[in-house]
Amino acid sequence: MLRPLASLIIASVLTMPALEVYAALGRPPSTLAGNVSHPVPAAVARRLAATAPMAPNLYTVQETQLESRTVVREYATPAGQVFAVTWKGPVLPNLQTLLGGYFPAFEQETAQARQAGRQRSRVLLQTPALVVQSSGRMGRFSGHAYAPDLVPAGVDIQALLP
Amino acid sequence: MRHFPILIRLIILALVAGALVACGGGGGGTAAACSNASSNSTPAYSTYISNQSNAVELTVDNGPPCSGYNVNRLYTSVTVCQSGNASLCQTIDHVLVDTGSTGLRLLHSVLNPALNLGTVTAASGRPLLNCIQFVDNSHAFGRVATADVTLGPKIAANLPIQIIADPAYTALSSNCASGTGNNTPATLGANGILGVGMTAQDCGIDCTTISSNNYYFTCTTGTCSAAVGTTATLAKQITNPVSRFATDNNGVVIDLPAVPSQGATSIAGQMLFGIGTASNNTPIAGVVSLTTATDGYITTAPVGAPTVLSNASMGNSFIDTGSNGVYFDATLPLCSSATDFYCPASNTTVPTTLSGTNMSSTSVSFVAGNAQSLFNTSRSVLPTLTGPMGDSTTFDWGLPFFYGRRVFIGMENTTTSLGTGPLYAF
Repeated sequence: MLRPLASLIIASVLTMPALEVYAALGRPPSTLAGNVSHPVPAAVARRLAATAPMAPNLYTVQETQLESRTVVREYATPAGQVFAVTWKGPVLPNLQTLLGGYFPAFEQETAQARQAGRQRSRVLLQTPALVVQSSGRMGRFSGHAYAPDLVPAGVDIQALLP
Repeated sequence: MRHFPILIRLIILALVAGALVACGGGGGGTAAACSNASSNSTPAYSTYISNQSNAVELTVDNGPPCSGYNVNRLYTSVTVCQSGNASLCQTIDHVLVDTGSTGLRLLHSVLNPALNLGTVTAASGRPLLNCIQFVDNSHAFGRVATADVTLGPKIAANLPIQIIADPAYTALSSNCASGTGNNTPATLGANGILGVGMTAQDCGIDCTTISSNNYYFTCTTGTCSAAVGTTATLAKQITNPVSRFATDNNGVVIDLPAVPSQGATSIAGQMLFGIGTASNNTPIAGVVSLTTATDGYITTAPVGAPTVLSNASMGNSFIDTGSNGVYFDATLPLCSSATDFYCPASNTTVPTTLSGTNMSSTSVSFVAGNAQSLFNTSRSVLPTLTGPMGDSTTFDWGLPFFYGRRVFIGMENTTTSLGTGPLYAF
């Protein structure tokens, strides 16, 4: 089975602003290694790894550790559009930032679940336009989101995700 | 003044009146239940024995008045007193008992203002604020206060707790998360959360050195018009009250009765404090202890073939009273209306094995029922409620796992007769 994460190349460890270090689903990924030119503030997150496009040039992976220690991975097309994100760690990343234009659909789904008595329950949103999974407990969060329409042909999205 | 006063009840009624209109999706939450706040007072079963030195009664019922249709939520009552003032106290009912989180969190709206619980300050000298996130991106945000907290006969004095949605700080909650706040009994499904999980503090050592930790904030101005992340010493962090008891402080036992597969309106049980510290919390022969790393994870694996489970070994599994169903990926059919639950045509028995980091393992067989049929009963105790997880590494053993079991949950870095925590045993 394709397990691309095992072949992640540690490209560099960079310091990044703590906020907005990751990009939204459907947008370009956060600034890639080598392109960081802005000053580094005191509060930082670490860029853990970035890959060259995975053979045969189907997508790139960028992994960022936020200062909260939560790790965010962004999967982008060679053209630079994020089609999937994952997160794992002690706090939730800012999902409004991470989901971008897809955030309202996530909000609508979770609002409906809450009104049905399922407050704070794990999220499993599966629509043609957006898939979001979010689970865990205090201090142990994990989840992923992807836009099926944006996944490049030939990429097995299930193999990328936990 | 052992219950929240009439005025506060009226405020709660007013707050949730709007929410009731919208509560049709889960299949319950009728206006009749709302107008009859005492309908939860007669549990169908009881294993609670009063006058024990280390126990508190638990219930699973429809929750606080007018809080909608609550399913598989475990509640207890908590008494909070102004620190050092035993004559200024309030008992809060329907506080959610959550073994998946740490610390006591109470809604500002259910607290009598006369309690006037003192605010903990950050190193800056300004109020220390706390954020807890939930997996649906909702949150609870508010100041850290101290109180003398009583659970049954046990006292945790001068305990840091969270006051959720104190209006003085609510405008700052966007620092906590981008989603909605659990600011009322209707949105929380409870009057507070009692986290009696495996850790002593909600954040722990990371928050003593990292300021952008997303748990702790402090005001940047005297009027608290803005907030910024801050470190917090362990002593100031939201703390598991069990860890602060003078004795019986190494964990808890959740002891709930068995429930027929079709469910029950309510049940009662008990939480015992301590493991192996008294005759009533000493494990009997045959109890298997599953130790975990600091992450609290055990491994769940299917038994036999064929199995309905989709994954062979789920190493990020956990047992948690705060999850209101049992969640795992399987080939069971989804419900047509509530599509994030399973609706098998008939009750399906699923055999599994659970194992800990100590290589100890034990068999657990559970029944997956038809979730829509369960919701249609409008009952609050649904022992066969199951749904998909969407994660091949995780099996979430929520509250239904606890029905008919005595489950021991040992806190990290404590010594128990079942081993060194963190651990689960049953």
